[in-house]
Amino acid sequence: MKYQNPQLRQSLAAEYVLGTLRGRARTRFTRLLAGDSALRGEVRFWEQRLGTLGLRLKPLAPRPVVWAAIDYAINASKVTALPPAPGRINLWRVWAVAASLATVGLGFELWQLMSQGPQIVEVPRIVQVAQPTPYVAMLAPGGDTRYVLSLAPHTGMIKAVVTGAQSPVDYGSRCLELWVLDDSGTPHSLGVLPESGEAQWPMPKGVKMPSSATPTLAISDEPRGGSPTGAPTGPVLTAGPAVRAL
Amino acid sequence: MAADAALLQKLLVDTARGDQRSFRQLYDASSSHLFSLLIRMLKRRDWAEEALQDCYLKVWQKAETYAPDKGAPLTWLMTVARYRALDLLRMKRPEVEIPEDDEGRAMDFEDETEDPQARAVEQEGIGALQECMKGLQDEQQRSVLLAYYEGYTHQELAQAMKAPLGTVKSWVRRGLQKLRECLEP
Repeated sequence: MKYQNPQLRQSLAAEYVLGTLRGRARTRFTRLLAGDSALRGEVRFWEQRLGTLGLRLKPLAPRPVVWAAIDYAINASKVTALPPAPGRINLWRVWAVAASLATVGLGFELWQLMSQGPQIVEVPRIVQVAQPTPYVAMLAPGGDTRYVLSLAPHTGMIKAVVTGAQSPVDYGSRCLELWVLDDSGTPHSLGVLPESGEAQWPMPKGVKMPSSATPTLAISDEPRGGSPTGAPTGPVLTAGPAVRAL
Repeated sequence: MAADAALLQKLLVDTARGDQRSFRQLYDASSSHLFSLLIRMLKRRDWAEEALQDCYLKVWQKAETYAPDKGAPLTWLMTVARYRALDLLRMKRPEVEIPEDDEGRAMDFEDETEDPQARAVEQEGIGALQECMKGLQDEQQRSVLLAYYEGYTHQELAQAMKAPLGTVKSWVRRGLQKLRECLEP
C-alpha cells in the first residue's frame, strides 16, 4: 500500500484513532507512525478532536477498590523488587516477611473495600459482637493479573477479586491454584482461582490457617481443574503474605 | 474553567516527577470520565475496572510523555483509555454479544446528557466537533459514533447497522473525510 497519498494518509490516521483500522493494517500503520512525524501529527489531530466525544458521557465514579489496586501496584513495585516466582518455600517465607510490613496497612484498606457491599440501608445494631477479621492479600501471578484475596477462617469462606487482562496462563488447558503454607512450610490447596471477575468459595475441609500472623499464600500454574496430586505440580508464579485486617 | 485544564496539566507534570499526592488528585479529577467511556465500550464492570487500572498505571509510568501539544489533558487521558479499551476488545470481543439492532444506541447529539464541567474544560473542541458532526449524513454520523463509543469494527458496524460491509466502510470513510474538511478547512 502506498502511504504517500495525502488523502489516504488522512484516512488511515482517522480510522486508526477511531479504531476501525484493525489487524495487520493497524500493525503496519503503527510501525509507520514511529518514523513519520507528519503522520503522528495527523493522528494527534484526530486524538484531540475525537477525544472530546468521550467527555459527552455522564461521568461514572469507579469503585474505590480500583484506586486501592493502583496504589498498591505503584508502591509494591517500589518497595519490593522481588523475583516473580521464587521456587523454594524458604524464599517464599523470606519474601513474606519482607513484604508484610508494606502490606499491613494496605491489607486493612483492601479488606474494608472488599467488605463494601451494595448500598443497603441498615438498621443500627444495638449489640456489637466482635467478629474475627479475615486475612487479606494481594498476589500478582504474572501478565497484568492481580488477585485481591480475603480468607475468613471463622466463616470458612475464601473470596477472590481478579483484575487484569493478560493472564499468565492459557486457560484453555491451565489454571491458577491458590495455596497456603502450613507451619512446616507444606503447601495446602485452597482451590482453583477464578479467571475473571470475583468468586467466593468455602475453604477446603481440613485446611487450617497456620499459627503465623502472616501466613504465606502462593499461586501455582496447574493443569485445568487443579493439581492432580494435591501438591503444586507447575511453577509457583507468586507468593506473598496474608495479613489480618485489624 | 480553563483553570481546570491548567490544574490537570500541573497534576500531570507533578505526577511525572513521582508526586503520588498529585497523581491521586489527577485520578480523583479524571477517573470518572475515563470509567464512563470504558464502561460504555467494554460493557462489563470488571473489564472496565481493569482497563482503568491499566490506564492509570500507564499514566503513572509515562506521565512525562504528555505534552500540551497532545491536546487538553483530559482529552489525552481519554485517548489513553480508549486505546486500552480497543486493545481489550480485540482480545475479548468474541465474548461480547452485539445487539441485533444497535442503531438506537448511537449517540444523538441533541439528547445525550453532557457533563457541564467536562464540557467547559474542553468546550472549544466539543463545540467544533459537534457542529461538524451535524453536517454528516445520518448513516455517516451513526457509523462514526458507533465506532467511537462501542469500539465496533467495520464488520460489527455492518451487523449493527444491517448494511453491507462495503457500504459501512464508505460511510465511515466519507464521514471522517467530511469531519476533517469541516474541522480544518
